[in-house]
Amino acid sequence: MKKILFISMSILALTLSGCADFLEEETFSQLTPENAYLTKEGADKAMNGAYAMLQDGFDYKFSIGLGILGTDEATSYNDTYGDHEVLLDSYTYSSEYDIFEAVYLDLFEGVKRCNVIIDLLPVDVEDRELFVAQAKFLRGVYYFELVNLFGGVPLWLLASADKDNLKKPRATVDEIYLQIEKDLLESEKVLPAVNVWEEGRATKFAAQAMLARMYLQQLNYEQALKYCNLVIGDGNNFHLYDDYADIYDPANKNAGYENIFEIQHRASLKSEDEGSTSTDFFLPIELQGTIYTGWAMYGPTDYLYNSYEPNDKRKSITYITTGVNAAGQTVTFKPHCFKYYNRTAGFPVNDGEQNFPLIRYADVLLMKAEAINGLQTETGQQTVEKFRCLNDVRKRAGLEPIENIGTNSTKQGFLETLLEERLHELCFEKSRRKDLIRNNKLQTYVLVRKPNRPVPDKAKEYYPLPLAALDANSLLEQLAGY
Amino acid sequence: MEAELIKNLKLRTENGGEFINNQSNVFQDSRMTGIYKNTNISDRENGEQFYMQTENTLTYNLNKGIHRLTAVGGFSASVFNWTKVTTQVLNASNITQNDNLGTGTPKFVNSDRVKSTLASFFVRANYSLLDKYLLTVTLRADGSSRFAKGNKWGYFPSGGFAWRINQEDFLKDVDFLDNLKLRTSYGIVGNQEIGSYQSMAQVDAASSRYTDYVFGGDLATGSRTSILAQPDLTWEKSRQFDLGLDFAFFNNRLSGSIDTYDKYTYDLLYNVPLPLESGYRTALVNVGAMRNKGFEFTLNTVNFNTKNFVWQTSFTYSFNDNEIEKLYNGLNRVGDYFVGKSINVIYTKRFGGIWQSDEAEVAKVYNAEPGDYKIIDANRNNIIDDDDRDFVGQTVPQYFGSFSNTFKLYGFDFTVFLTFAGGHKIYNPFAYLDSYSPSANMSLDYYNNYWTVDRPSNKYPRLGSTNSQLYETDGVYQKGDYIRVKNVELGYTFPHSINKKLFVNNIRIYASVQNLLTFTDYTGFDVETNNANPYPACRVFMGGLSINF
Repeated sequence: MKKILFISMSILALTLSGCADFLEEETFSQLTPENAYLTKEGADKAMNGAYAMLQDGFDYKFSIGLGILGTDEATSYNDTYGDHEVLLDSYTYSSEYDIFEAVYLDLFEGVKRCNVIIDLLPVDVEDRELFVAQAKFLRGVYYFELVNLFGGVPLWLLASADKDNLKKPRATVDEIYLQIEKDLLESEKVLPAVNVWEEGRATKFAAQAMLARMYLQQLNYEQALKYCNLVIGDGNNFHLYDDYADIYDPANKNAGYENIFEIQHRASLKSEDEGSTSTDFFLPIELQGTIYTGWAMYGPTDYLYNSYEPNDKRKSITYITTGVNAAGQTVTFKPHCFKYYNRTAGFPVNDGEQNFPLIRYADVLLMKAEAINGLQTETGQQTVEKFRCLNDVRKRAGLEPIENIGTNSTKQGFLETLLEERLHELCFEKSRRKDLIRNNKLQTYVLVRKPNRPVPDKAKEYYPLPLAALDANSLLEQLAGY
Repeated sequence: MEAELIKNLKLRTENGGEFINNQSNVFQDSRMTGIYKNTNISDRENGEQFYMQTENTLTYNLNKGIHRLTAVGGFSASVFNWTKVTTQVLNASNITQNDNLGTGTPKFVNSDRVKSTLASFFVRANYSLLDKYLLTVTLRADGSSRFAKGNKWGYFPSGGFAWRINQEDFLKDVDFLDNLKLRTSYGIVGNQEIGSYQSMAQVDAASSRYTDYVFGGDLATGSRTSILAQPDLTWEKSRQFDLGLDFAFFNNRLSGSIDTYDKYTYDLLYNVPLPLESGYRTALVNVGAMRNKGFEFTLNTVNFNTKNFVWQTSFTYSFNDNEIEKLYNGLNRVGDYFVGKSINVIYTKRFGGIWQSDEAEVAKVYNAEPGDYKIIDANRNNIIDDDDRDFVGQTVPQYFGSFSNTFKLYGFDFTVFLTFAGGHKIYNPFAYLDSYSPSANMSLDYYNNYWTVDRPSNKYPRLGSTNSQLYETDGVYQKGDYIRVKNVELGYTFPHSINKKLFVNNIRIYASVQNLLTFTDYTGFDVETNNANPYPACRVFMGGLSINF
C-alpha cells in the first residue's frame, strides 16, 4: 500500500511539474507586443498604423466639421440631414455629441500607436531612430490637435499601462504644449530633409513647419519666426504653385513643391477605405445622383463668399455654384466648397484620390508675416519682409500687393488684412478656428459676420470633453462653462 | 482501461479524442444579385478542430459493516486545437466554380489558429453510514491556459449531505411512505469560458481601413495594439447552496421533489470600459456579483391505476429570481445593468396610448397632436427624454413549467403535454410595422383600428403620424405569458393475441400533433423565443407505426 501511494504520488508530482508548461498559453496566429516589433517589418507596420489615424482624426468628413464650423469661415448647410453640423455651428452641442467622442478616441488611438513605437521598439531594430523620430512628430501633431480642440487633456506618453494608474487627470494646456515642443524638436533633429523612404512620410521641414505653427498658436512670435525661416531657408526649399488648383491636384501628390506634409489617400474602389472622404459633406445636394454626389453638410458663410476681391483667382477654384443635375437640367445653388474635388478614380462616394495638405508653404509665409507683425511695435524694421510674405501669396491669387499705407501701416490693421488673406488662402483647411482664437477674434468676427448664429463665449473656444470620456475616467473634470 | 492494483484499489485511465473537419463552399453566381454587381463570389472555408483528453483516477472502496466509503483521486487534462482558413475569390469561372479558385481574383485570405488547455486535480469521497446518512466531499483544482501565470488555478471545494429519512426506525412502519430523502449541498464552481488569449496584450495586424495607410501611392498595411494585458484575469466563481426533498407515497402513486437554490456568482468575467485616453475601449476583468435564487417543484401522480384504465399526471414548475448585487467602481448602473435589478431588466420609456382630441393642448407641449403616440413624461418636466425611462419588466420568464397527462384505456393511450411560462415581456416591433406611415405596409388590424377623430383608438396612431418614438417605449414589448399545447398523441397497441399470429413482439400505431394550440396575448411569431423575428415553431402532424420483433 505504501509503495503504491509512493508511485502515485510521484506520478502526481511529475504531472504537476509538467503542468506549468502544459498550461502555458501558446500563441500561433496572435501577435503580441513581445513578438510583433522584433523586426523592421514589424516596426514598419506599427509605424503605418501610427500614421493611419491622421486619416480619421484630421480629414475625415466629420473631423473637418470640428475644424471649420462655428467661425466666420463656414456654416452648416443641410439642416435636414446635417443635425451634427447645426449643433456645432450654433454652439448648441452637448458633451454627448458623438463626433467629439469619435475624434477624441481617434486622436488618442494615434497617440497610443506612437507611444508603442517610442516605448516598445527593441533597441536593435534597424532604423529604430527614424521610426521613433516619425512617431514623435506624429505624437506632437496628435496632441496639438487635442489641445486645440479640448484644452488640457490627460498626457499619455508610455505604451505600457499600469493598471492601477489607468486614470489620469487633465494636464494643463502649458504642460501639453511643453510635450509637443519636446517631441517636435526631437523629431526635427533626426528626420531627414528629403524623404529617404517612400513619399508621404514626415520630414525635417514638416517638423519645423509644425513647430512654427505650434509656437505661433502660443503667441511665441520669436520662435515661430525662427522655424518659419528654417522652412523657407534660401527660398528654394519650397515654392508656391502658379495655379492655386495645383495644391489639391492628385497629380501633384507629395511633389514637395508647395505642400510640406500631406495626409495620404488613394482611391480604393470602396467607400470610406483609404480614399479621401473630404468632399462628401461639401458637395451640393442638388447634384445628388451625378458624379458630384454629396451631402452639403457645410459650406462657406455668406461673409466668406462675398469677401473676395474681384480679381481673386482662388474664388472660382474654391467654389461650385452651378452644375447639371441627375435629370440633365442645369441648376444653380448656394456656393459649395469644391477645391478638394477630384474624380480621376475610385468609388463614386467617399473614395477620393486626393491628399489633404496638413501644412503647406503659403501657410508658412503667412505665419511668418504674422510672427513678424507680432514682434513689432507700430513701426519696425522688418516691415518690408512681412509685406513681402503676404504679397507673395496675394500675387499667386492674382491680386495687387498690399502697401505699407493707411490702416495696413499699423500693427492691428495689418493683422486684420493678414487674417483676411489667411481666410481666402486656407479656407476649409482647418486653420480658421485656431487663427481666430489665438488672435482673440472669434467672438468679434462671428458677431459681425455671422448674424444668424449665436456668438460663442470664451469658454466655448474649447469643445467639451466627450461624456464617454468623463464616464470612463472619474479623474477628468469637464471645462467650466459646460 | 482499469486495473485492480490491490484489493479495493482500482486504477483507471480513460483517454479520448475528437477530430472535426468542416468545409464550407459557397458559390454565388453573378446572375444572382449579390453585394457585388455582376461578380461571381466564391467563399471557401476549411476548419479543423482537434480535442484530446485524458482522465486518470485511483478509486478506493471500503465496505465494513455499517460503513461504506468510496474515495476517488485523480487528474485530468485536455487540449483543444482549432485552425481555420477562409478565402473569398471574385469572378472565379462559372464552370469550375469553387474547385478552381485560380480562375478568379482573390478578395481576401485569412487563417487563424487557437490552442487552449485545461488541467484538473481532484479528490472525491462518498461515505455512507447505515445507508441512511450519505456524505460527499469534493476538492478540485482546475487550471486553465486562458489565464496568466499565477492566476491559472482555481480551487473549488464542495460538500453534500443526504438523509434517507424513511429508513429511520421511527418511520419504518409507516406503510404509505416509499421514499423520503432530504438533500443539501454547498459548493463553489468556476467558469473560464472567455475565449483564448484574453489575458495577454495583443497586436492586431489585420489589414483594415483603421490601421492601413498609404505611402508612395501604395497601400501600407499597419498594426495596432488591440488588447491591454490583463495578468490578473482569473476564474469566475459561483457559490451555490441547495436544499431539496425527494418524496414518494402510496406505492409511488404520489412522488416528486422540491429543490431550492441560492447561487451567488462573483468575480464575473465582464468587459469594463477603460479611460478613453488609454486608446483601449474596454478590458475583460473580474468584477461584480450576481445572485440567482429560485425553486423547482416536480409532482408525479398516478390518479387511476386499474387493469384497463391508467391515468398519470406530471407537473413541473420552476421559479428564478436574478439580481445584480455589485457592478464595479461602486457604480450603481453601467449601461443597461443596474444594481438590485435583473440582468434582463427592460429599462425604457412608458407608452401611454394615443393622444385624444380633448388632450390637444397637453399634447402640444410635447410637439404632438391628437392621434399621435403618447409617451409618459415620468419626471413631469414637459420634455420627453432618457430621464423618463423606468423599469418595465424583464426579458426572460420569471417562471416556467410543464403539465402532462397520460391516459391508457385497454390498448389505447392518449397523452397531452402542456408547457407554460410567464412573468416576462417580449420585444415585438412587428405588432406595429411602420403603421404610422401611409405609404408603408400596414397590418389589417392597424387599417381597421387606426385613430381618427370619429374613431378614437388608444393603440394605433392616426395615418401620417410622424411621431415614431414608439420604438423607444415599452409599447413594443408585449407580455410573454403563455400556455402551449406542445404535444398531443393518441396511440393504440395491438393485443398479444394478434402479435403472436404475426410473429412480432409489439405493434403500436399512433398519431400526434405538436404545437397544437397556444394561449397568449402575445401577437408575434413565436412566444417561446426572445427573438423578435424567429423562424416560428411549426405545427407538426405525425402518424406512425412501430413494430418490435
